Amino acid sequence: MVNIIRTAITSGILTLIIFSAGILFGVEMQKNRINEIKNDYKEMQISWNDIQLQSDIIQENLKTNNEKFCENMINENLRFGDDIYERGKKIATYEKRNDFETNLYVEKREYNLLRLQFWINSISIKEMCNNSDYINVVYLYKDNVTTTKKVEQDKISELLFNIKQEYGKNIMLIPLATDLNLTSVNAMMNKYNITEFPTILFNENITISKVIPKNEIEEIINEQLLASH
Amino acid sequence: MGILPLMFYFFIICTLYFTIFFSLIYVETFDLFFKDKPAKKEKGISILIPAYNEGRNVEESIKSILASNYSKNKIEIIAINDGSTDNTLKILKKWQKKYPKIIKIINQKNQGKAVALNNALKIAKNEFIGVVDADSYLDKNALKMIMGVFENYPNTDAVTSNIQLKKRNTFLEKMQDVEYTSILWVRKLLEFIGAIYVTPGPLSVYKASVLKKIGGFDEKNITEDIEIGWRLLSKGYNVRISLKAIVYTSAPKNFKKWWKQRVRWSAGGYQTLLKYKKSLFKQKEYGIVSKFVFPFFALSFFTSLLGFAIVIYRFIIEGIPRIYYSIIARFAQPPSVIEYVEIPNSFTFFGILLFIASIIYTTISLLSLKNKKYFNLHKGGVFILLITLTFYLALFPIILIQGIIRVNKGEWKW
Repeated sequence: MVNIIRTAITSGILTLIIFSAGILFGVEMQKNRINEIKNDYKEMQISWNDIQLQSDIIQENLKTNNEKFCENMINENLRFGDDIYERGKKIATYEKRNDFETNLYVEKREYNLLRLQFWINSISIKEMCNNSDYINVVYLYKDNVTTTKKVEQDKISELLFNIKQEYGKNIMLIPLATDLNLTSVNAMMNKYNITEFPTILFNENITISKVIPKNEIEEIINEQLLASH
Repeated sequence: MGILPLMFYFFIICTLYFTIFFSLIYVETFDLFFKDKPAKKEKGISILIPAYNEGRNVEESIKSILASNYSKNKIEIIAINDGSTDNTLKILKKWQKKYPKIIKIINQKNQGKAVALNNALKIAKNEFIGVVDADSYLDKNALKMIMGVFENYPNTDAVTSNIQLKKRNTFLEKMQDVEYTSILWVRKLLEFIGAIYVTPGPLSVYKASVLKKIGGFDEKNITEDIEIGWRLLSKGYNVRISLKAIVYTSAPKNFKKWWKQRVRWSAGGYQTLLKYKKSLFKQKEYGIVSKFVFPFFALSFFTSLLGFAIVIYRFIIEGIPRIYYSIIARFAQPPSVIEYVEIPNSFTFFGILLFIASIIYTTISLLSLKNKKYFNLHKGGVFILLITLTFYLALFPIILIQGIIRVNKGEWKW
């Protein structure tokens, strides 16, 4: 006969050790991911400053070589757009995979501001370079929503990501959280009269506030692209 | 932290605990698994065969007992025809004619297996009572081996056997075979803590005096073999298992029959759990039932239902809206599985750990019980193992829910 009490206690201790190891593993992974996000943000800030400086230089040179500088600026902006979009996705995924509620609020606000600046910059570029080949697709969502609402937002996000992959440089995709207590974001919402969420804003003039078939989104994009030429 | 992660952690802790618990017992006892010795002195045994519409099987069952290497003059067979509508009674009579000194027949209205066994118990004359299902047949050494346990461990009150499947042809039969082997392994481990809580119908032997003292089989329970196991333990009796006492039984061949059988087992388990719920607060009175069997059984039920509830909950709040929006968008993207591995967290750690543990656990049980055929990669053994551990076991919570509903509705009473 096996001593059941001894076996039960030993099992309890071993369970505790393995369970603690699993939790520690999760905590350590989470810490690493938060550090990664913070480092990413520093890099993005440097890239952004770089883009802004470039933008200043280009504006000074617009009169001499408009076309060439516009092309450069648009390309750099697109590259930055893709980069910030990917990193935004990374934060969302990391947050979803974290075991414990973490304070990524500050990081999300920082990124959101960068995205807003990027959006404003994209509008300026379109104004500066009249003949742009891209459209701004701003996806306005809420960070803190019910699970079902989140599924709806995720579906739009998936749709736009898929469309972005198809259209490549023709789309500046800018997701923007609207409930992170940023007055500048609120100001933009007021400016474009956006009250419902999620909303997709195409070229600052057309809004869609629900899930619609993919081909209908593509139709809007195609019309906007034709109009911008 | 939300309620879902907490529930998941609870599930992990329970699974982890019992995996470690049984592994520790195995480490301590693996060399004792096949130490059983056959009985040197043969004692009288009355074998009860309850039969309801078993015309196609009962003959094989009787033949196997008669072909046993246990002396015929020490065997009494009491076959109970439980109101069969087929030719069961005719076949029983045919065999009684051949062996009038050995075989007795009880012919009763259909009242259930427990009533049939209790009626036979009243006229059984031997010191030991064996129960053999009419669709099961014994290996020729089975009785000698099972009686050897009584001889070598005199404080033993009931001994159960090594249940093997008669056929392992279909995929369903192969999965059941993996399951039976794992159950058998756990049952042997339970022996070492004195907690074998079921004496299955295919072949179990009891001391007649004990069986009579505790009042025979519970006629209200649909799985009388589970209930009698709990009752024996709660009254302080010892139940053992002989892995060398082999009995072959029929497994359901199709999914419908399999489902029906499992719902019945689950319902019986639930009935037993309800019957012994008071044991949780009466440790002295109920012994090992109170200390281990009830908590283990209840936790198994609870974690099974908990896991299922989590899946259903997530399907309702996430799955259905996802399908709905995919239809509207006319665009669907399968959820990413890679991120679970690429971006690990504690759930990844536990998920991988438990999956590997379950594979090792089942593999050890199959290997230690000499069922090495499953590890023939060319014959798809690993595939059977993986499907059994995933899809097959995933059906059990649904079966359990159906069993509970039917018991609560009073649909299952004898």
